[in-house]
Amino acid sequence: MNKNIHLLKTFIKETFSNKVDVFFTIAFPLLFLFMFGMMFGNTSTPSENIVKIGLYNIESDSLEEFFENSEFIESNNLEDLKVQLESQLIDAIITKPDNYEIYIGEGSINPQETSFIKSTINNGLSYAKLNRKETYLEQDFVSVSLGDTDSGQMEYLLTGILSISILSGGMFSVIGIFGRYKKNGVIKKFMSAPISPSSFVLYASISKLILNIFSVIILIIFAKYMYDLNYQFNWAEFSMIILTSSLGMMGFGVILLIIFKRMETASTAASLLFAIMTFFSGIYFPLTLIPEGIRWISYFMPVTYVVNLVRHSANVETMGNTEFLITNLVLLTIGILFLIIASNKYVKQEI
Amino acid sequence: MNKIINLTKTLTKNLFRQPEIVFFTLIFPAAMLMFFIYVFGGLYEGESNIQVNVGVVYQEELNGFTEQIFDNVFSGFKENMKNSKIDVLDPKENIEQIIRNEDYDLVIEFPSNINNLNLKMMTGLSSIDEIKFYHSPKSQSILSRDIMSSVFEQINLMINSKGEEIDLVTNYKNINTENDDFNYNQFIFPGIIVMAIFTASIFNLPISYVSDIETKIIKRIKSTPIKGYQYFLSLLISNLFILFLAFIIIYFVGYFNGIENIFNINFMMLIIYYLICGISFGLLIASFFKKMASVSVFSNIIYFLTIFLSGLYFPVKDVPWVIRWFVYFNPGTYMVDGLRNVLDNNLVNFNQIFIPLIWTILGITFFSVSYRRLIKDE
Repeated sequence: MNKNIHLLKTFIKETFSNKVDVFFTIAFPLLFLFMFGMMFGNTSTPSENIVKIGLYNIESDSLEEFFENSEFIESNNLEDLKVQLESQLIDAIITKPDNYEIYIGEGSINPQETSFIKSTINNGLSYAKLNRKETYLEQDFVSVSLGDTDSGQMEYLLTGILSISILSGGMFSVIGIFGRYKKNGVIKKFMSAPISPSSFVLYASISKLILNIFSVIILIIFAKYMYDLNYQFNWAEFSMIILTSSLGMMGFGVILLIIFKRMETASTAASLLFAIMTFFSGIYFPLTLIPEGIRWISYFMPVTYVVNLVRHSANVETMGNTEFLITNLVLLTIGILFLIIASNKYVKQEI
Repeated sequence: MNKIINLTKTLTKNLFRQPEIVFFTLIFPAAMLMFFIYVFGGLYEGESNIQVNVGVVYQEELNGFTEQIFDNVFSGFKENMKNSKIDVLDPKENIEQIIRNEDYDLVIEFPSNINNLNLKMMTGLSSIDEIKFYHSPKSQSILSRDIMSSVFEQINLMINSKGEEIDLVTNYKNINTENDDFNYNQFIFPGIIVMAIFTASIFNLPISYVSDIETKIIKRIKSTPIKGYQYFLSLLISNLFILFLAFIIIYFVGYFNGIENIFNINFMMLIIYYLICGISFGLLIASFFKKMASVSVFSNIIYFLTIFLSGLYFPVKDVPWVIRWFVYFNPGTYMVDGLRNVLDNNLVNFNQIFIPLIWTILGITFFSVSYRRLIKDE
């Protein structure tokens, strides 16, 4: 018993002192959450968004009554307004040397935002040109929660980032266990001690799992306080998902190691898979933005299924019990099966 | 000279033997360029590629002008957005359940007094209840909501103008480039060039250099007739060679996607200038490390921060001050903006030359001192 605890402690120390693993498992998802939270966290309806418009040599009185959800800043200094636009303090500048000339900052990863600013300005100027504005059709937006809690887009984003974090942690860790440890002769050294291959694999995997759990906890706490999120995890289900998903992705990591043999190549393939997962997960932007011809890739991504599990456990989305169990079972089976294969292929060989 | 050529060949071969370097330097930037062009390029030119599934519920059958208006609007929508669908649903169905089942991205419910619009258009006296847009928090549903909301805004405008065309001339200018037409492909191309430069300079160069220190390769080289500067030149040339190949692939993708002006001599000269800055920035990192584990962690962190907080993918100047300071110190911010300016035939700002120059001077100075000390110690 003592031997096993000591073995686990050793692996935990090694895992947490590996700065690359710690960075990519904890800090990297945090960075993603922070940045994408800022970009896509705005779930307000079009009527709640305010467009800040700089007016150069134009009086705001002439436009105010025709513009919806807009704030105006008048100025006679175009350069000053340009600086404000570049610093994103305002969203656009309207000038009128002859026709309307409108400066706008573009290139956001969320082009809908640019499109919204343009349509607000176009509509406002059109009403001003007509010199009349009557709203014939009023709009009311009703957000329907897909789960048991009243969740918004940020809750969706967080659960997506959690899934990617769990998945990448699992996949990269196994490459570390069987690739890096083997390359550095760690497995050989352990096998010369009275440690069974199964104990080696078990405790090495548990240490990586602990890192994953640690990362998930930090992400949840950060998101809760940063974005005041409204989710209620079913912790029993969520713990099970972390276990099965991490193990499942460890299985995928083993598959990569078997296919690519060299640790470096497998690691590159894992990075590629991570990049593809990031874009084809539908987490950061809708999948329909991706051309239809390549959209099918998302169905082959484990993240597509794991994200549904995580959302279900956070009560953000509902899922049938059978689907929940089958998905977990598939991930668990893949994980255990390939860890056994890896144990035979990479660890027993070193005895 | 022969020594440099031979050593360069060996180091280049060594780089090509490392799949992660081949992938991240040669293939990844071009793959990202293609991805961004296909996903976002089309989006900026129109919304026709977007697929939205909309259900419409009429609590009262439409008639008169109201029917005509919505028939025209919805048939026009179907024509312009061929991948999308609009279905009329049974008013008895539970709309919230339809959204929960994810059968539709959005359901628009017309009120039971929608035909009052006929009277309101003629007399302005009647009133109509709100049109309800039912959506879920999913990004696809939010996107559909915003698209359809803007369609209804257009209907309001059309009724105000009594169906007549509004003689409004607007000319949109991009604040960064001052150009009239915003072209997303043109916008993302300089960012990908900077990404390739940083991949070689922040990742490959410091890691190969520190790896050579740790594995005592530099020490062994010192015991041969090869001089310290010859090793350094070979290391530099081998890394530049792989970057040059990466540029060829990126240019190939850019050219075939119709990105203009990329062969402009000023643009290419600025790439070379920024390449020198990028390499110096990488050397600055390399100056402080002698252990592979430390340099690879630091390079990874700096690489991702530099890339994400340079405005390469998305605007970063309104991020909170906690991280905004990094945007202003980041040489990538100025490199991306500078290349965008030149690609759009505008002048480069003073900062876009000066701040990368400061990093270049810092990099060369620190590296010279550290390299001289290393060669002496070895």
